[in-house]
Amino acid sequence: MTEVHHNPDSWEGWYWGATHHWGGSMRVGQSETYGTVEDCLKEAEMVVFWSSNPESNSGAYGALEGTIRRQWLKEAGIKLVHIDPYYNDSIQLLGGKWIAPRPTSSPALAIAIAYVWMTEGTYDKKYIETRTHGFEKWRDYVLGVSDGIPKSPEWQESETGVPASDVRALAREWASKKTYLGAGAWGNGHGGACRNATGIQWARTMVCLIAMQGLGKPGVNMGNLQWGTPLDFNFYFPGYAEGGMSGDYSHTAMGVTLYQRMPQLPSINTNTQVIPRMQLPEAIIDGKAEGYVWNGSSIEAQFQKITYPKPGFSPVHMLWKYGGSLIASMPNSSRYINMFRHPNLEFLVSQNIWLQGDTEFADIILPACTNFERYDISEWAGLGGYAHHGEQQLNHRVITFQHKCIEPLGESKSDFWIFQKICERLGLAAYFTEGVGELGWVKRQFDGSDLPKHISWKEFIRKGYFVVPTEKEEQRAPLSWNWFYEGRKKDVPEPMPLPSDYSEEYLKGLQTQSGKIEFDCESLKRFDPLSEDRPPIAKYQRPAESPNAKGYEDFPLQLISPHPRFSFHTQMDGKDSFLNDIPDHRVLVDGYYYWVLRIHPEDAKTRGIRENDLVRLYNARGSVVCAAKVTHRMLRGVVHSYGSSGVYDPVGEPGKSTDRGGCVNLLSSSKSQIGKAHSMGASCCQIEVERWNAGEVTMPAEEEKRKAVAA
Amino acid sequence: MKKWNLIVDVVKCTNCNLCTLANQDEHVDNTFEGYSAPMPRHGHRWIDIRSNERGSGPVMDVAYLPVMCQHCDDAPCMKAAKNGAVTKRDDGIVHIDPVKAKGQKAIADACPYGAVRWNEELQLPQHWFFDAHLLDRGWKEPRCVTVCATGALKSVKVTDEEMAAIKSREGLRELQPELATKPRVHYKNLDRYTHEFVGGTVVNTVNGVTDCVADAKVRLERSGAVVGEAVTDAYGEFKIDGLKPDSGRYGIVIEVAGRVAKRLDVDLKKSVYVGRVELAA
Repeated sequence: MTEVHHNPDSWEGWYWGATHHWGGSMRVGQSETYGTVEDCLKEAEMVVFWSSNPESNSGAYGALEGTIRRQWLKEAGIKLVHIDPYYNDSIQLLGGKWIAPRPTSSPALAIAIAYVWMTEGTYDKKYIETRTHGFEKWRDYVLGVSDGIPKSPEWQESETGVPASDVRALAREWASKKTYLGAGAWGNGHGGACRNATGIQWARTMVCLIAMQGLGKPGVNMGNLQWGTPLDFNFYFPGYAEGGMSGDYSHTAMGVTLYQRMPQLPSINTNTQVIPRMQLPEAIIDGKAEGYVWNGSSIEAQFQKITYPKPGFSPVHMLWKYGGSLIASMPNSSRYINMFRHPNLEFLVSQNIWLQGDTEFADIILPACTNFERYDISEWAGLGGYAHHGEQQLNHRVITFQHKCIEPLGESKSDFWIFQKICERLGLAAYFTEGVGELGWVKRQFDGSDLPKHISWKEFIRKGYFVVPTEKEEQRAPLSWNWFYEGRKKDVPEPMPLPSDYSEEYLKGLQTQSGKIEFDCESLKRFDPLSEDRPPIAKYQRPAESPNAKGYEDFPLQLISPHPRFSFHTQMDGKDSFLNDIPDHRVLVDGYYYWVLRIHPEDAKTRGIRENDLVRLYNARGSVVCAAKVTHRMLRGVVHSYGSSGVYDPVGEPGKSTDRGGCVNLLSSSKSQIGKAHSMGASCCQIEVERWNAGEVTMPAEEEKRKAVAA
Repeated sequence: MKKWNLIVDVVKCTNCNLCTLANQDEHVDNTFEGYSAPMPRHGHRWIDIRSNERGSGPVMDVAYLPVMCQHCDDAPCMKAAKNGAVTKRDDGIVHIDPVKAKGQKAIADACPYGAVRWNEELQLPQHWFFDAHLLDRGWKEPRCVTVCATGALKSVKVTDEEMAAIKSREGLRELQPELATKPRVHYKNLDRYTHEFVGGTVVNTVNGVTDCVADAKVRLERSGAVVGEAVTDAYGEFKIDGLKPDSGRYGIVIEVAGRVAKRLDVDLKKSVYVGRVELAA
């Protein structure tokens, strides 16, 4: 069996970029998070939210638990700055200064802030000297010593559209106040600008900026109060990334903690051939694909190239599609539709709860039941693995027993049941189930955790949940990065990096070769010192797909497509759910619920578009119909539509006609952010928008164009 | 006699829609004998969230306004009802009897807030009835309040005298006081919905370098009188709020270090961002 190998989709810039500066490979290049809620509220005087909209993204797993903490920010009079081309939901609720750079230009803005600090001497020089490596080389780039271009606030104006005066004001206020940097939805990374074409550049500059202000000093850290609550981290319950069965400790985080507590038979797939997910259609249709691996065990693990087909292995004939929707969530996703329909893919199985997107292309559909129709156990926001202690976005740790409310409806069955039946036919049922049923596996997970020390199995089932008691104050996790700032050994409760990754001594310094924050990345110098798209120091380069760029003259608008606010990926959208009635989610026009496009009033006016008009978003890759919301919340020249509609509804031939379900990823680019990576840069692309007449089915002129560009 | 009231803080509403969704979860497909018939799956938002955008980037704001049955003490729907289909409970809640109200579209049409919905299939007027079925079983709050994460919705059960004191202490207002329906839903920070602002950015260019001007005093004048004041922040931005829409001409006076540095006029219709005001120009 060949694995479809994921790119680090919501973390791209941090994994491929930031990790070379400060390590953290086992957090996908993101920052530590412990103790930051208390430190931020006590010590910080300002928080910069950069491409960070926690009120919309809810930490992906944390519902509105973080909201009250951010309301405290407001009550405490802590200054807030929001950097986002969209006047986002967090600005709306919390207020503060709104700075709106054009999408993909944030690295230029960041470098210009560093320029002000360097020229005015307003950075932590002692920290730079003792805790960082290679600053001089980056300084020479920023000041223009090495290339003759000073990266001043005036320099960045033409890239970002942000007035130089705003950049200077921000740089000065930031330097004069103890400031938290909330980058991405989680504040320590994840989502936002790390997923566009300059995401790697952006994440790298974020590390450089916070390093210049002394990361780890009280009041100077990464975060937006989404993570970092004080909880009892000594209590063990496995996160979802730790797997739970089949002994798969190489593709899950099981080896971190769970395997020792819950031994299992290794029914794991041993085949090492993989296909990079973003090139899956090319792998099937053209028979070959290339990428780089997502493996967080060390900084250098990502330098390993993946090639398909792998020598000595069989090409793929059949695809088992388990959950999700590639059409909605993968870039330039007509490619996947073409793959589903291509003769090289001889057999497609779809195991899914919903008849959505991809499911309908399957030869065999295995209808899985919902979580209301089967037993399970889990901790809310307990992610484990790359998001170790993910529960620290909540105010309490809550572990729930998931009762089966009803028997599975229709022909649907639980995933466990489906796999068990398949294994029976393979003669592997006993090996797979280990003689235990679904509820038995739940009990094994219960027994493997610290729950039995506090509550009996029967009482847990009766009550349905367990709230982990608050930790004693003296056991509270220390503040992240403070150990590094003060020169102590690492003392935060995360088991990473692994011992072999310390250069000097176990727990001393960072995972980087120098053990310091590296402005001039030694790992990149070893791997590819002359790389132009990922040089050893963080530089700004405008992406090939940008306004007025060659080949995109007909598509002047930048479409940003962030994670949706009201649905989660494709979950909860479509399916006749209540969300259809939220006018910021879908709009009812002539009996059909359309996905929403946000557009600036001037951009709407020049195109004759009014509120709730049906509009067609198009470029050479595809065509999608949405309902227009005309709003000053958009920067001019930028339009906004959430990235993963749960409905794919082509008006003509699938993959070759306009979609009125709202899958805007039909328009995004599948180009990797940099050559030697497998990194999505799809959250921003160039498009044009026009009013749509419901009768229009095909676009012959555009078909011609698509053939010509064939991007 | 203690009665129910709902307090809505407009500044704290962030359009998460949890109140609306919880209400749908409670009422779609569910009948509560003596209280209500099922809510239609789509098309009814018994708790509707309206929005108001003011100004333009970078100085703008967006306010959300949850609107539901106002549980008026002098309710137009009660007057429009026949057979005593709409009654006022002792605890202040307006009750629409799901049996007696059948076929009475006039009840829905009578609501000046648009908060009584007409269920075409069941031929019934329907509204957010404060989850009286839950309160009567001992719940302390209706579901919309239990799910509100920001504190934008708060329910209080107090005497009318106590409520009057809360209203004046917290500056609560009625949605449309001109209707004089004596609503039991009260709004805080309603200015964000009913009033306008004037905003701008003060900058100064010296030796070819433009910088934001912080701590400039900005006065808004009308017929010689000062009607509003603000001090610019680190980004040179100011915002003077609480102005009436379409209120005509104002003078903006910008003072730096005790001296008038700039004057300009604005004709206020809706909230306006006057742009970057260059002192050197």
